[in-house]
Amino acid sequence: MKITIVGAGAIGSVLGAYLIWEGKDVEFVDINADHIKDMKERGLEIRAFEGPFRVAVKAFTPEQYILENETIECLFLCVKIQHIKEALEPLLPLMKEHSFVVLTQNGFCETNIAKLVGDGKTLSSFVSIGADYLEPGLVHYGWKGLLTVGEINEEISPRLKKLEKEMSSLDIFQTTNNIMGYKWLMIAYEAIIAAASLSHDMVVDIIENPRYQEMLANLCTEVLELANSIGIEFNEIEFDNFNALHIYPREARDCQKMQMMLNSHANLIRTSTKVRSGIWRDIVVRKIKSEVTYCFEPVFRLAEKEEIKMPMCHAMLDIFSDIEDGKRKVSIENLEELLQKDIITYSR
Amino acid sequence: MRITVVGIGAIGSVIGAYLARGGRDVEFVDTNVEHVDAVNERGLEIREQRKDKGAITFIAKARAYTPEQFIAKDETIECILLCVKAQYTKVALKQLLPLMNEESFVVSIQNGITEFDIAEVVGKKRTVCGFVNIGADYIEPGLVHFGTKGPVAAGEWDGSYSLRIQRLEKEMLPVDMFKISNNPMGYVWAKVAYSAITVATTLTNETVAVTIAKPRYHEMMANLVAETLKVAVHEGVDLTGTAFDKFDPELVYPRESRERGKMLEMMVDHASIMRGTTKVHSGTWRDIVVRKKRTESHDHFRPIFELANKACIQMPMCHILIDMLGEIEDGKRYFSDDNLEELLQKDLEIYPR
Repeated sequence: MKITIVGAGAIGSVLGAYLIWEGKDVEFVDINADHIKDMKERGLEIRAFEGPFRVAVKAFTPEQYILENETIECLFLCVKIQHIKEALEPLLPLMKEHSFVVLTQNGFCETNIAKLVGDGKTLSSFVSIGADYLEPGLVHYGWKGLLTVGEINEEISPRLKKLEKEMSSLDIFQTTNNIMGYKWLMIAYEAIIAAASLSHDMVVDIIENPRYQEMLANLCTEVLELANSIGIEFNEIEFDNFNALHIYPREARDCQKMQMMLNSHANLIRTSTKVRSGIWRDIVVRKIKSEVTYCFEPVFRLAEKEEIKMPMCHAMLDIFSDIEDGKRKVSIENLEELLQKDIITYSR
Repeated sequence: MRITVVGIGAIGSVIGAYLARGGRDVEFVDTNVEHVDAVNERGLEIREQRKDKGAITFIAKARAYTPEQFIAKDETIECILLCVKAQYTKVALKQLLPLMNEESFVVSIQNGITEFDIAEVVGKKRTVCGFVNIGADYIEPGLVHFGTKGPVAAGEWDGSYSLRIQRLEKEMLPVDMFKISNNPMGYVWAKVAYSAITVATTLTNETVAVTIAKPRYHEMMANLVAETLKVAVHEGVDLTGTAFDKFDPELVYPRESRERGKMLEMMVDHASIMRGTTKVHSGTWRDIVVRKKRTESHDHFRPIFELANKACIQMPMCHILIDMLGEIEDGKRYFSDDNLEELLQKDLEIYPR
């Protein structure tokens, strides 16, 4: 099976490089012509937690790809959520009856994609691998993580089985029949990461700080409550020792167990060489728009429909927008402000 | 003792961050304003990749200054660890000179023979010789990758264990790869002689380890290194015990009387060490390809070529090599294995086997 990776950023590069390493037929497509040229000329270097390696790659701009290819079989869409449309649209002529797209974004874009590529052509996935795009041709892969793929209708379909077989040499790959559970848990976790990214501290230090743990749990709970209201099951799911069991529902939460869970998660990810979040890197270092706002937008819309209030998530996103608009600086003060708000909101 | 790290590119960042993490009184000076701001605002992130022992990342906090800010602070300098690229040695020191007193001293933690330049600005008495063989990359403001943990060493010109060297040794304890050397200039010359091999690997797009591992080029590489070593020996430098990463200059020089078998065996051993490093490309390659700036190799070889000229020592292979590098930098030549083949043909003509 030919695999087309659209978007050669952090996640796309790591996924593609490992597949190439395993001898798979992989092609990269990216709209950044300079990046494509660089990768073609000198390959793609992955500074992985387990040691660096370099692979030669086949890389194309969308225009080149359409000229040189007839069909797409399996497409991994690895662009940021806000760039999906522009990345996918030029490639649509290559999509045939059995082609399918695997989404890797945090956040919900399944409906929009279906409108673009047609019903039944998308699989969704949950990505917990931690990687940073550093410069053309160079990506840092700091946290091994998992790539979990499932059908949107939660069925174990023949194409999912075929994909599993194709990816069997990749030990981070797994399939699931509850991808939406994973995705919602990830969005809840994203609230923690986004909050931590309001400061210059390492993510793991924030997660482990008892001062903020209850607030972080409350942020997560708001997302999980919404998920629960639309019938999502997430209690059986965990990644990197992180789960919803001791976080949700808030009223029944055993605070000590919640802290133990967060600490054990922190303990695990402390070994990562990626100590700062992609979100932090986007706003502080790369000075580009992070996907947080886009990621929470459909969540907030759904919450309004379901009449569920998410005061803390809104407060966090407001601070976030202020930072992105240059009205506020990244600082631990932001977390303190959020903490005060949390204490008032959930009167503790 | 307060330590002023001047130049926090790849090497200065790693050493400075280790000192800061070890609780030493350390401050940074660098001309890269963005980098200085990033370090002050959010710390200096060091990603350390070690193949066998796993990888770690830490964030070091220390004050960083631009030269202007540092001079405005107007405090006497005790010890400078000079970590700027060879070509900036004099410029960097000239502006800091007014802050130095009789006791202040400058330790060269640089590639290349910069000791003469340092001595020219601050005087030989205030110069401490040194060398560094760690592999690190400056990635972006506030972020440095540390790949290969090699030795960093310093010592007096005459190798004596002076009072200031003893104090330096104590201060540098948090930098576990640092040691005092009683023959620093021997190492400095060995290192700069070796750098011809690194430059040669830069002519291709292959990774350093892959090129060094090719037996086809081993004798040519040895010949390149031997040319510089001849100048070193002429300058009265002692090469005894200056081997690093299993590369032993004494098995390479003198070319006429070397044991070919032992030399080739040593090159194979050295290549296997290089395979274990986690830095895929040389700093020289990165300078050209990624950072798009002029490499410091020209400045490493200029003083050697001058000394060789004076001593009537021929260095044909090194001249050809540095010219090829210049052509690549000027866009007149492309990275390719053909460059190494061309170099090999020249080598066979100049030094018939």
